[in-house]
Parts: sequence; C-alpha cells; structure tokens
Amino acid sequence: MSAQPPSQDVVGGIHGLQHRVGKSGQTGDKERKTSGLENFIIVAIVLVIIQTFIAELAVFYRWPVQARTILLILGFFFDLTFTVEFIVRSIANGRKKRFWSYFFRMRGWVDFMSSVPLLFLNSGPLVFLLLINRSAESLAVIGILNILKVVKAIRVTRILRLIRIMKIFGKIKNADSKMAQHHTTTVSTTAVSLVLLVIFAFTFITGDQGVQLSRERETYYRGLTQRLISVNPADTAFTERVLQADRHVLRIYRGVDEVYSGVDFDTWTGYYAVDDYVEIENGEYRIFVSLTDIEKKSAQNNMLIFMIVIVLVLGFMFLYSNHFVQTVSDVIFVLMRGFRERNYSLQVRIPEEYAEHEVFQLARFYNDKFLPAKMKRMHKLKMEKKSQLSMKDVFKFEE
Amino acid sequence: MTDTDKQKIMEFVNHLLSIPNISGEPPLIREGMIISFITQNIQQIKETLTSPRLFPDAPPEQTLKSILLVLRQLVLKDIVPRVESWLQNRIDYRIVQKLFPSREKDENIYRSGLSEYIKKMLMNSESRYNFNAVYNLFEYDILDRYVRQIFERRGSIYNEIKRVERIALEFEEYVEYTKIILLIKNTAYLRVPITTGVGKVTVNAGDLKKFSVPLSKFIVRQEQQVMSQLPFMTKQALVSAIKSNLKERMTEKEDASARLFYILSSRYQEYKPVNKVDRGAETPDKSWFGSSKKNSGYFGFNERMLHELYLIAGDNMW
Repeated sequence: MSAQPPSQDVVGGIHGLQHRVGKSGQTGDKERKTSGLENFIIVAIVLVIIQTFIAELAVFYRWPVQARTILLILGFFFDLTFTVEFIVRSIANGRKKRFWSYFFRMRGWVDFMSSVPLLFLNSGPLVFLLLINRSAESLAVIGILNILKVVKAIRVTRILRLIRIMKIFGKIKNADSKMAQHHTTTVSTTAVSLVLLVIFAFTFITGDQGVQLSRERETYYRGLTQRLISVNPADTAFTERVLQADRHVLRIYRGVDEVYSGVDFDTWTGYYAVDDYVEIENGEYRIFVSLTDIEKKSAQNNMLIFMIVIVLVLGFMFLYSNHFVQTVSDVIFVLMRGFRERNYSLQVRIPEEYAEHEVFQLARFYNDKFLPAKMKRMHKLKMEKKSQLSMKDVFKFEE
Repeated sequence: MTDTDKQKIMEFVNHLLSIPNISGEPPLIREGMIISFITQNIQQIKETLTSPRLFPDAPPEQTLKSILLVLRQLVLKDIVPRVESWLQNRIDYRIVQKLFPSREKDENIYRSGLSEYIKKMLMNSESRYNFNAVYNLFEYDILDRYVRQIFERRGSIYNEIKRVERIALEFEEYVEYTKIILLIKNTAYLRVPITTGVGKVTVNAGDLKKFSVPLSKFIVRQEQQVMSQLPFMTKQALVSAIKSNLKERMTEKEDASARLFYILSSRYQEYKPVNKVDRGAETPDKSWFGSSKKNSGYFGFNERMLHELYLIAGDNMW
C-alpha cells in the first residue's frame, strides 16, 4: 500500500518571517511621518553626495564663480540640515536617556562627524565669507583673508562629507536580512572610517598639500617682488615686465593704478573666486597671483578619494553583502522556516566550497537528520488522520 | 429531501471546501480531508446536522450521504474534464496501439475504454484520493521530463528498466506506456472479492497484509476486472500498474517500472507547484528526493532510484 510521505511544497514568496519583510507595517500617522522623514534624509544623503562630487568637478573644470557659489550654498544647506537632524536625534534619544547608545551603537557619531564639523569648519565659514564679500568687500578684506586661511587650513574636513554615504546603509531597510544589513554596515563603516582616518591623520601630520603649495606660492611671489624692487627701485618698468611675463600673475597694481591685467574684466569677475588667487602687497605693489592650478590638483585628489570611498561602499553593498547573504543569512532563513513551518521541507543548498563552514555543517545536520525525521513525523500524523478541520468550521456554516 | 435542503447541502459542501485550512489544497485532497474529518467526528456531525438551523427534518445518515454525494460530484466536476482532455490530447494512440495491440484499430475504442475505467475508479473514494498523484503527473508534464532524463543519462534506472525488467521500448514509447500504467494504477484501490483461509473477503491493495491475501491472487482478480473493460491491456502492464502502489519489498527484482512509478506517485500525491524557491534552499524535487533517501526503508522506496532522481532534479533545478 502506498505510504506516500507528506509533500513539502510551499507557495513561494509567502514568508511568515518578519526579518524578510522588514519592519511590520504600522500604518499610524506617526509611522507615516517618521517614514517620510527617513525618506527625506535618504534623498538628502544622495543629493549631498552628488553635490560634493559636482562641487569638486566645478573646481577642476573651472566652472563660473556663480555656479560654484550655488554649489557652496547648497552644501551649506545640506550641512545645516544634517546638523539639525543630529541635534533632533540627540535630543529625542537624550529624553529617553539613551543618547550614548544612539551616539555609539546606532552610529550617532557618523551623524555628528558628517554634519557639525562641516557646518562650523567648512561650509559655514565659506558662506559667511561669501556674505561678507558681497556686502562689505572693501571694509572686511583683512577679516575675509583671515577666515579664508583658517578654512583652507582645515579643508580636509571636506572629506567628512563622504562619511554620509555610510548612513544610507542605516536608512535603507534591507528587505532580505537584518543580520546581513547589520554586518555589511559594520564592515563598510569600519573600512570607510579607517580610510578617512588615515587621510585625515596624514593631512594633519604632513599638512594639506593644497594649503602648503598656496603658501609656498605666496612666499615665492612676495620674495620675487621684494627682490625685483630691491634690484632697481627706480626702474618700475623692469619689475612690472618681469612680473607680467609670469603666467601665474593675474593683475598688478601700483598704488591705485592697475598696470597690468592678464585676464579681462568679465573673466576676472565671472571665473575667479576669492580662493582662486592670492593677493600679495609689497611696497607700492599689489599683485594677484593665480592659485587655480593648485585648486585643480586639490580637487582632483578629492575626487580620487571620493571615488575610492564610493567604490568601497558599493563593493561592500553589492559584493560583500551578497556573499554574506548567500553564505549566512539565506541559510539561516531556510533553517528557520524548516524549524517553524509545518509544511516547509526544502533542504538547504550547500555549496561544496563552503561545506566546512559551521553554518553549513548545521545545514548538513538539518538536511540529513532533521528534515527526514520531520517527513516521517508528518507521515505518521497523516496516517493517524489528524484532520486539519475542526467542528468549529462546521458550526460556522450554521452561523 | 426538499429542494431547499438540496440547496442547503450544496451550500454546506461549498462551505467545507472553502475552509481556509484546506482551501489551498487540490480538490481531490480537500475531499479526502473532509471525508477523513467526517469519519473522525461522525457522532458530533450527525447531531449538528439535525440542529434546527440545518436539516432537522431529514435523518442524519441520509443528509450525510447526500453531503458526500454532492462533495464527490463537485470534485469530479473539476477532475473529469481534465482527464478527458488528457485522453484527447496527451496520449499518442498510434504508439499505444503498437504497445497494446488489439483487434480494434479505432483509437476511440482505447480512449473511451480508458475514460470509462477511469470514471469507474474515480467513483471509489480511496482510488479518487490517490488519483491526485496521477493528476499532478499529467497536469505538470512530469513524466515526460523525468523519463527523458532517465533515458538520456542511461543510469541505474534505465539499466533496471531495460536489462532487468527487459522492457525494450524507446523513449517515446516508454512515455506512452507509463501514461497508460499511471492512468489505471488506482485500480489497485478497487475492491475485488477473494476467497481466503478465513472466507470470502473484498479487498484492495491496502488490505493485502491485513487479510494475508497473496499478491498473485489479487492480481488475477484485478486482471479479470480490468480486462473486462480494457481488453487491450497486457498482464505485464497491469502488474506494473498494481505494484506501483506497493512498497519496494512487495515487488520483485524485475518490477523496476513499478518501483519508479511508486516513487513518482508518492512525490506528486500532494504536490503543489512552487512559484519561487527561497534563496539558499534546494529545489522542491531535489529536497524531497534528498529527504526521502534517508527514509527509503520506512517509505519503501528504492534508494538507488531515489538517488538518481535526486541527481536529475538537482541538475535540472526541479
């Protein structure tokens, strides 16, 4: 007589486990608002990454000042937004007495590092500079230059903006596995943080290359002007001819008179921002020396770092997380369904190359011992004719 | 029984068939579950049926009989048209005529003979319940794909069929042979009268052990029953059909096809197609054959065959 064992087929795609479907759907207003806010933050992160890259690209390709100013203001608003986000989250978690948990365990430090230092050390001062420059150019020249020097000295903080990429991991709910999401985030956060830390530390030890080159150039031209004047103080024409022949010299003033201009007025006003040149005063001379080549190299370096971080993060997101899912979380998911669900009897797929891994050894036990025992048990239950119907089902008809 | 009662019975049966716990099952399995449930709770159900809101005026036995009748009608309404469709479109009668020569050359004789006999089997509840495997094997074209692989690989199953059972058929012929055997295999669930040491008993394949009925005697009785309606049927095919309902230890060395059909029938008795297999999981057939290998003794499967089917399912992602 046929001893047909129970079937194990299941309707695919219907998973009872919460971790596969993400957070359970509360549909309250509060949930919707939170979700809306989270989506806004994700969009903002994506936009700020694009903005950061385009800002460097704008410097590299010498876009007009106006375009770069818009990008600068955009960057400021993003930094402001993220700073507000960090403050709000800190207050909210602080009220629940879990600020430190938020800061260290829930990556609040990433929120902090990618917002507050940038706002106060980078985009904030630059926007402030821009406002002063626009409203009272002649009155605040000394102040502008001082702020500019400070900002340039700590321009390395720009790379902190890249750290926001990691926040995307925390925001996007991985529909497949919370464990995979957590592990990928941890590994990528560690890798990206270490890369940025090395760059940061290296810059602080050896100094910013761009800043150093700018200073060297300023010193060189100050010295050159000084030497030219001292050779023959009466022969101003000689001094001016030598300076005019230099490709980095943009404009030369003697007293209030402009004696040379290497760029026309439209180019000067349209393409040279305050950090694209350095103004050197020496005796009666005031010369403007271009820094665009240094800025360009600096932007190129920043873009390289940017690409490294992006590729690193994408690599973890798509390659490592996929590997993790295949070798850990998918296996556990199948095991859990097999343990929990009566009619689920699919075996775990064990790749030969990973057969010795502990998780696959467990899977081997599940395939070879647990499932056959479960199959037998289900068959015995069927033989005992344990019905899946009850009298309640019949009574329902009466109702 | 009044028309209102008949209407109510129809509604009651429809209600039972749509109970969420079983509504996802195929019709034949649902019917089996309902019958099993009624059998287990017969007294309570009888009391319920006579309640004022159901059928207070009819004797519960009669109501129950009507319920089971309507249940069978509803299930057969789904199944019979499918069977007729297979008989019309899925069987190559030119090959069947070659395999089962008969004086009648008209393929309609074969078709109508099979149709009538299947309907007869479907009137029996046990035979009907176990017909679900046949239903699935036909409906999802399982035979063709497995037999094709068996013939292409020329592994142990092929060797057993060809060299031990000595079936000298080509792939297409064996597929048609298999179809005919599967269509009539549930004849083993039809009861036949047999005289034993304890007297005359009416038995089916499930009672052989209980009444110590020799298999050969049972086969002879079945042969008489089948041949009366399907004169073209050969003894070898009928033996395979009957033995495809039995565990390996009840078969002979040369019953390779029967052992294969027993495994495939067991696999597809409660089969439900899977739309998408979970990532990290093996495919349904491979998993089933894999788990069954470990239980081959318990279920009475041939382990070597299971292993080959396991490899076939794995290679083809079934």
